[in-house]
Amino acid sequence: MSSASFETFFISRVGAVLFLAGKVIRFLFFFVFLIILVRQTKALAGYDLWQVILFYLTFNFIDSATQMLFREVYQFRQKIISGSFDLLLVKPINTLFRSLFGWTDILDFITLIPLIGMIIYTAVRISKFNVIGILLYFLLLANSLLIATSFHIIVLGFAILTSEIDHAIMIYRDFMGMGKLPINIYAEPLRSFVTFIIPVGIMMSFPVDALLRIITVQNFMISLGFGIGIFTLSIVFWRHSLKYYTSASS
Amino acid sequence: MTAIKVANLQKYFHIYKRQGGIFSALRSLFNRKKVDVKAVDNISFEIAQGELVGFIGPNGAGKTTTLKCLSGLLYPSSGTISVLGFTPFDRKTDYLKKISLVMGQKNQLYWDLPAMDTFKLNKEIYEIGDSEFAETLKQLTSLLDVADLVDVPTRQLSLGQRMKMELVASLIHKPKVLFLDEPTIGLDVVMQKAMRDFIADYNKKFAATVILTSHYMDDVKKLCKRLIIIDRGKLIYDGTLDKLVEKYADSKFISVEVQNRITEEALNQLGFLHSFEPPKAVFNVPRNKVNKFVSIILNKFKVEDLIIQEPEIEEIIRTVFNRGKS
Amino acid sequence: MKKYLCVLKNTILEFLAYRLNFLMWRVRAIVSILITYFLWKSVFMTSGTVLGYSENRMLTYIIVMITLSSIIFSTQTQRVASEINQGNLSNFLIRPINFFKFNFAREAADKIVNCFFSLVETFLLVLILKPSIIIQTDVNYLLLFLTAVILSSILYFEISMILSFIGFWSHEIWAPRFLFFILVSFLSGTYFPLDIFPGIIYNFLKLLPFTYLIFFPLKIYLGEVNFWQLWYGFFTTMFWIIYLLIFMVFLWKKGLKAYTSEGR
Repeated sequence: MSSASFETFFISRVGAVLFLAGKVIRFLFFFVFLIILVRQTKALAGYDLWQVILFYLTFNFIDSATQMLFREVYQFRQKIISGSFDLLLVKPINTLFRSLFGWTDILDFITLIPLIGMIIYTAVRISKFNVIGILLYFLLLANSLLIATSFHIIVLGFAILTSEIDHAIMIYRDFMGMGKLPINIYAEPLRSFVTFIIPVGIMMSFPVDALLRIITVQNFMISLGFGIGIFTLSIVFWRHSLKYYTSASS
Repeated sequence: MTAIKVANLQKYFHIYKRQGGIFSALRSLFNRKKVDVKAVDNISFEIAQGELVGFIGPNGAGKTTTLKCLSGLLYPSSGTISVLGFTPFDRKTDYLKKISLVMGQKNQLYWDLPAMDTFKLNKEIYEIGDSEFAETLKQLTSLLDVADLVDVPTRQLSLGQRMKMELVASLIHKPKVLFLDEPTIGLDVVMQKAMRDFIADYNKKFAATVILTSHYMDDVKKLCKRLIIIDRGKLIYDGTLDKLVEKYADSKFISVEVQNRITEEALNQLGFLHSFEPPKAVFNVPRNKVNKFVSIILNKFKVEDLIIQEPEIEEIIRTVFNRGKS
Repeated sequence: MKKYLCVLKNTILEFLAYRLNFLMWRVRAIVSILITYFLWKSVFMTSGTVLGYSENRMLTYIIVMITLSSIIFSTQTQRVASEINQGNLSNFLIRPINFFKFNFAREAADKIVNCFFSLVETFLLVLILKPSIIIQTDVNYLLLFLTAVILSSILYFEISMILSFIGFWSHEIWAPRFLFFILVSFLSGTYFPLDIFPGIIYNFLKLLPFTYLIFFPLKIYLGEVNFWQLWYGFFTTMFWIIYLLIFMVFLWKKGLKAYTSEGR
């Protein structure tokens, strides 16, 4: 590792540290807020305090993991405009992989460790689970990440076609924010909309429901079906976009 | 009528020096060594109203720094500057209304709005009357050939068109003094010519004093009657192009077309032979010997054609810079 | 004066030029309203009072708070930071225009656009969600509320401008602002009313300027201030406005000195 790169690393790190500090503080503020709030009441949409905490932590895990994995996607628009995407196209199999994961930094995942620790602690505290619950949790968590991946692939496809990407990602992030609380707090028809059409509920709430063993078989099946379905769709869309791109002139 | 008077201008920059390496980087957080860089080192000159002057010099020579001092963006470390009777650094409203500074990458146009909105804003800022505004706008846009683009959002314009709009925005208030920082940089050949033509036209038509910085020789050759050459912060030359050539070009090239029968040896006897490709011979003759040489060669040989050429300006200026180094 | 009106007009045009961006931004605002609103509504499903507030009072607080935040925390002053950093500030210095008046005009345009859209959105949401909120009808309170909101806008303008001046000395302009904003949003009462804090903490918060951005105007709207509290509140607001004004101008002069000595 060259020391030259470490130096430049050092200067911009101040910004990265401040940014990270901001995110941690924001996480803590809302966390404290949530605790104070839920303590005032017996239950939030039928869940007690620790369960609500688990929802919040799960949301943060998925949200942070997604952001860390797909940082490259934020650079994608530049690649399209500048034309350096063409260089990626030389190896079609890797193109998608590179466009998604090019900027993934293993170091980021270190910050997930405390979060994982908290999830484990909370889950143990609830003690209303068993092995099956844990397995279902992980399964649906993986499913959520799959959906997130699919979404990013679709966004990449759109970027190729329209070179517009920022809006889509912003909207996605904002809607996902609705998942920091159990999806049941929202009134119908908003609740159904935000569970099945924009899959916030599927991604954020259902894994926790699974862990708590209160998820319906129906919802479980819908989750997996949705995950596989949208993933397939996203790959098809990606291929279509590529074909379109390579047939048009730059 | 003196427009600009500069006396003993000096400008230092503080640079924090730091060696390479990780430990140095860490140490530099606590203890940084300050080093003074003399960007402008004792420069003096005077420019009259209506002149078109070029500050020429290599990159980092101090031209842009001098320009910024003249426009009021930088304060001098020492020395005096007077432009139109004002001290630029005070940035008095009356002063700012009379000058304009155009810098390559720093745009004043609203990105999302048509250029016309920026023009109108400048109209208010500089307190220009309606009819005067309309008249100037017409003149400028026709000179630059952009009259039909004023209502197009800036982001939809090409680079060349944007630069033209920047110029209109910068000149809508008919400044008496115009500072241009590297006006032709980044432009294609066609745009460069258009830019030069415009600057020359503007200087003539509006009788404005124009100062431009450049490191392109073409700008020098085609535009500037008077040059101020700056290198390493020092003023090396101040005068017209012709005098520069006279002063620094030691020799001239004399191209002679001779009759076939003349041999190389015969030509060599004259001395100063540079190259010989029959029927053309080129001699590199010292300036003070040119006249004598010409009369000798015309007497001695049957010459079909004779041309006396100056060395390329590039060559001359390069020589000037190299002299400055030693 | 005309030139600053022109600036205001142009800033509004800029908003409209970027229609898609603008739309997206309103959608974000609405989504965040929904999250907060439903959270609180849920809490009240199983409790009559939360943190000493009844459902009516709290939901009113939340909805008015969101509308206010949308207006007060939206600013054009963050452009200043990148203008300084990238050297575009030179374009202002070279023209006979007052820097602060220019930015104030831009800010005014921003507030006008935001006021309009925030009020429309709130109105629509109230119509759809039909929360039982308190509508203030006492003219005195409303006038005081309006005054407080205008003062809050000025206060935030100063705070944000001071943050932007970091650009004179650092390339890192966005991260500090991000961090600062998270702190400010907590301290100004956007999570919950500040008077739920125990006395010592609450008294300390009342000394800070942030309380007067959101919480103080809100309290006036709810009609929950007595004469003494009003006096204290406005006095403290004015104190901070003047103090930060002096600091802002001081920082500007220092920054300008650095900018015009090094050149960008």
